[in-house]
Amino acid sequence: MKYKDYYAILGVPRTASLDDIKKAYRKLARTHHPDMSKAPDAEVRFKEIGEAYATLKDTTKRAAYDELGHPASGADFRPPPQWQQDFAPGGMSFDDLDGVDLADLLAAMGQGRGGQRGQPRQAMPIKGQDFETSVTIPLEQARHGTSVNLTLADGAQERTLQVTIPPGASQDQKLRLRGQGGKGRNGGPDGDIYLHIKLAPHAVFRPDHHDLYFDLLLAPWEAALGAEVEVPTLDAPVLLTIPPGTRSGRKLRLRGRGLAADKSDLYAIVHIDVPATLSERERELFQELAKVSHFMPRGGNQ
Amino acid sequence: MNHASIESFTLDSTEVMTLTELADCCGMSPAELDELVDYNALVPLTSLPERAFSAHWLTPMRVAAKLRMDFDLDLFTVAMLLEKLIQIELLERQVQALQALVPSHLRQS
Repeated sequence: MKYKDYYAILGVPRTASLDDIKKAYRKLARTHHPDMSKAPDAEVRFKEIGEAYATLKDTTKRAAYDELGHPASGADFRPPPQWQQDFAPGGMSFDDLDGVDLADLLAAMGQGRGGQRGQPRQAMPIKGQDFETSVTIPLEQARHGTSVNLTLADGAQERTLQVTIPPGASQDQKLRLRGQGGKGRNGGPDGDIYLHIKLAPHAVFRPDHHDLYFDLLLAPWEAALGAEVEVPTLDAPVLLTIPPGTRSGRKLRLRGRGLAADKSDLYAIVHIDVPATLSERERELFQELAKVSHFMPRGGNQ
Repeated sequence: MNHASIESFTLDSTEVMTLTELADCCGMSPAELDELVDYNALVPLTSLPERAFSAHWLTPMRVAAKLRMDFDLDLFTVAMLLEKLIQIELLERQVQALQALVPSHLRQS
């Protein structure tokens, strides 16, 4: 078995107080946490720091660890005979310690009911590993529901599960697949899978929870006089009635056309557009309109 | 390969979880969850016969529980953290809602 110098890993003296050990751990954890560090070895380093802290913060484990003395880091050592009774997982023999990790041995300590040295250990039920994964689906599938295949690396083997996503999924929705994670041990329950749903960007529609928005461009005369225009939905195009006097920025609702058919809507946001170039006749008509119209969009005083 | 179709549970306010189930899912004890309720960081739907919670708590609770383990945080810090995580979630929802209103040509720029 290889010796690991947990004090050196945390950068504290062997006489360090629990407070000092905690402070050193938190400082290192903040630096090497995989969510914060971009270093390629951040995860390994974080695990190593966590392993050292798990032993040194526990007075019983720390005392047992200190019994080993101070061999060089990485040096081979044999655990004291008392450890056979205290730590050996599943009655494992200390005659064969090849491949056994010091951390595993120390972690096994205190897992039995009672959890003290010298007491017989009893296997505790351990829940299986939870998995977190994400899937990106198009809006059409979010509205109608779909099934996706998830491939999970579960230990040495790969598993593929077909998961049904119910109709009406929304951005950042989380699903729990109960009991589909790693296998439980010692009678513990199986883990779960947590599936994070993301919606693929759409060329036309923008989601807000279950509602959808899109830009509806109208000609000035359509907005002023009213019209019936064909608009897209996630199913098929429909005719939308534009009321006379529709102003730019107005939201026109298409009930039940959002991501959740029965409780969400599709909104057309009106934008009034004008031709970039005018024909002679169009120019005449706009000039005529400008003469006869009393409409003052910037208020009467301007 | 297992291609059997799997039933899923949406983690939002349409699903309800018991105290024990929520505790199991986030790797904390029911007593610790009770303490978070005492700090008003976690709000149950009902308290009798057993405390029950909206499933929307599960995601922020799991994040808070993981940070607790990673940084050895005490339970009061977890309560404060949970409050901030919920706040971030609400703000993200507001950003999404506002982004949905921004016309396409402005979003691209």
